[in-house]
Amino acid sequence: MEKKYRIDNMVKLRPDKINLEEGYSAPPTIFKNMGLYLNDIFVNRKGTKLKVKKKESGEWCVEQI
Amino acid sequence: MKRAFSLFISLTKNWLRSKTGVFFSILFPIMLLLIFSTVFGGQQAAEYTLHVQNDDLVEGEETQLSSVFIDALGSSESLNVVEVDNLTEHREERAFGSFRALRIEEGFNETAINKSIELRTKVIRDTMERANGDFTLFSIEEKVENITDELDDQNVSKELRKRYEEEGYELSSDENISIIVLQEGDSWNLYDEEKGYDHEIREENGTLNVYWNFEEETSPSAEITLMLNEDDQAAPIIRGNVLGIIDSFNSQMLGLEEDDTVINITEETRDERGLQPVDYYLPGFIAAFIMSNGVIGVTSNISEFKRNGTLKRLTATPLKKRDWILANVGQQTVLAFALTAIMILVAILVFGAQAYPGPYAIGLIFLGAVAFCSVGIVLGGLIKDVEAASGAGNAIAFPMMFLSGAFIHVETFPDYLQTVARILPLYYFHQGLREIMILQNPSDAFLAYLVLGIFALFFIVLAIKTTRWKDI
Repeated sequence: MEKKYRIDNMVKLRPDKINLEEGYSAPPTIFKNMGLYLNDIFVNRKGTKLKVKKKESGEWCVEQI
Repeated sequence: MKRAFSLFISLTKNWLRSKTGVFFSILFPIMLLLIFSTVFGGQQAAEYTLHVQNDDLVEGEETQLSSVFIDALGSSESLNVVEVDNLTEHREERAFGSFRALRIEEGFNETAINKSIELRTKVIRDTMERANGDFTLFSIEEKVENITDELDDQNVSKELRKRYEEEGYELSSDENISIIVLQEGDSWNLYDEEKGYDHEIREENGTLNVYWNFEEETSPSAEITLMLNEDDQAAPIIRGNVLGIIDSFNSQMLGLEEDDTVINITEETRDERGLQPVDYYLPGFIAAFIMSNGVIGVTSNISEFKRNGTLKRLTATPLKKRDWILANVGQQTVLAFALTAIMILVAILVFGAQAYPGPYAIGLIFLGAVAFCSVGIVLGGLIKDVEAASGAGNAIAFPMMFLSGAFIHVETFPDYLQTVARILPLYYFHQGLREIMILQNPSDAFLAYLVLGIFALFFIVLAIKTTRWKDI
C-alpha cells in the first residue's frame, strides 16, 4: 500500500536513462526499472556515452567511457 | 512548468495521505489555538483556592472583624476561600500541590480596633496641624532667656505659665505633680497630665515655639500571615488580591467609605473593536505553523525521500532542479493558505475573532511560505545524514517558535530575549500578520514585508545553490 503511493509512482514522469549523468549512483532496482543492467552501455541526453558499473557499497553507478 | 506541476500534485497528494503530516500541519495548530485561546482568554477569570485558618476566636466564636475580613476575601472573584481548622494538617495532605493559605492571628479584632483609633486620632491631629499652617500652637517672642533660664526638669517657670494663660492654655495648678518638663537639647517637652497637654517647646531664632508633641509609642497592627510557595505561578495573583483587600479594609477601618477615594481609576481599552486574546494568538499560530511546516515538514520530507530512494528515482526522470524547488514551494504555499483559511474559520466560529485576511495578508503569507520552505530545502540539501537533517529542522523551528513571541507576548520576556526575538524572521512574520489581519494597519507591516522579502530571496537563492539534483 505504501509503495503504491510513493511520490515517484505518482509523478507521471517516466524514469529514463537519457536523464542520467556521470557520477549518478543508485540501488540496482532503480537501474533495472530503467532497463539497465551491469556493464550496459548507453548514451544520455547530452550524447555522453556511459557504462553501468558496480560500486563497493553495492550500489550501481554510471561512468563515462 | 508542467513537470513542476506534476510533482506539486504528487507532493500534495502524498501530504494528504500522510496522517502524521495532516495532524502536525493543520490539526495540531488548531488544537493549540483552541487551548491557548480558552486557557488564557476565557471570559471567566481564574479562581484560586485559598485556605484560611482563623485564630482570632472569643469563646470559640469568630470575632466580628476577622469574620468580615474572611467575607471580604471571599468576595474576590479570583479567590475561592476555604476555612479550615488546622492549616498544618492541610499542608501535609497537599505535600505535592501548591499550598496557598492565610492565617488570621489571635487578637486580630482587638488590635485592629485599637490601631484604627490611634490612626484616626493621628489623622485628626495631622489635619489640625495642616489647618494651622505653621503647625505651631503659639509662639513666645519676648523674654525667651528669662523663661528658658528658669526652665528645668520638673519646673515650669512663672513666665511660661503666664504666657500659656495669655494664649488661652491654662496649665494645671499643682505643678509638682501633674506637669513635667524635660529638656532634650534645645527643646523642652512639657507634659500636663491633668490638661492632657503634650507639648514640645523649641527655641528657634530667639523665639519659643510651642508644638503639639505627636511622638508617641505606636500600638501594634493586626496580624495576618499569608503562606504561598514561591514556585507557585499563581502566587503574585493571590498576593495582589489579598493586599488589595487589606488596603480596602484599612481604608474602611479609618472611616472611609468605598466611594471615598483620593485617586480614582478609569480603564480605557486601546481599541474600541474589543479585541480578544484569540486575536493575538491567531496570527501567531498561523505564522508559527507556516514556519514549522516549511522548516520541519520540508526537511523531513526530503530526508524521507532520500532514505527510501524516491529522490534517486525522481532524478532519473526529466525533472530538473528548479522543478523540484518550485513544486516544494508551491505545495507549501498552498498548505499555508489552507492552514490560514481553516485557522481563521475556527477562530471566528469558536471565539468570534476579528480577522480579515486581505491581499496584503495573502502576500505576506506567500513570502513566509517561500522563505521557510526554502530553509527546509536548504537543510535537506546541505545535510546528507537523514536523521541529522530532520533534527536540524526541529532544532531551528522549535526555539524560534517560542522565542519569537508567537505564543507569548515579547514584552513579558527579559530584555536580552526580547533582543533575540527581534532578530528572528518569525517575529516580523506574526507581527506583520497581526497588523494586517487584526489591526487593519497594512502600512505598519512594511518592515515585516521587507524582512521576509529579503529572507525569502536569500534562502531561495541558497536553496538553488545548495540543491545538487544529480548527486542527491
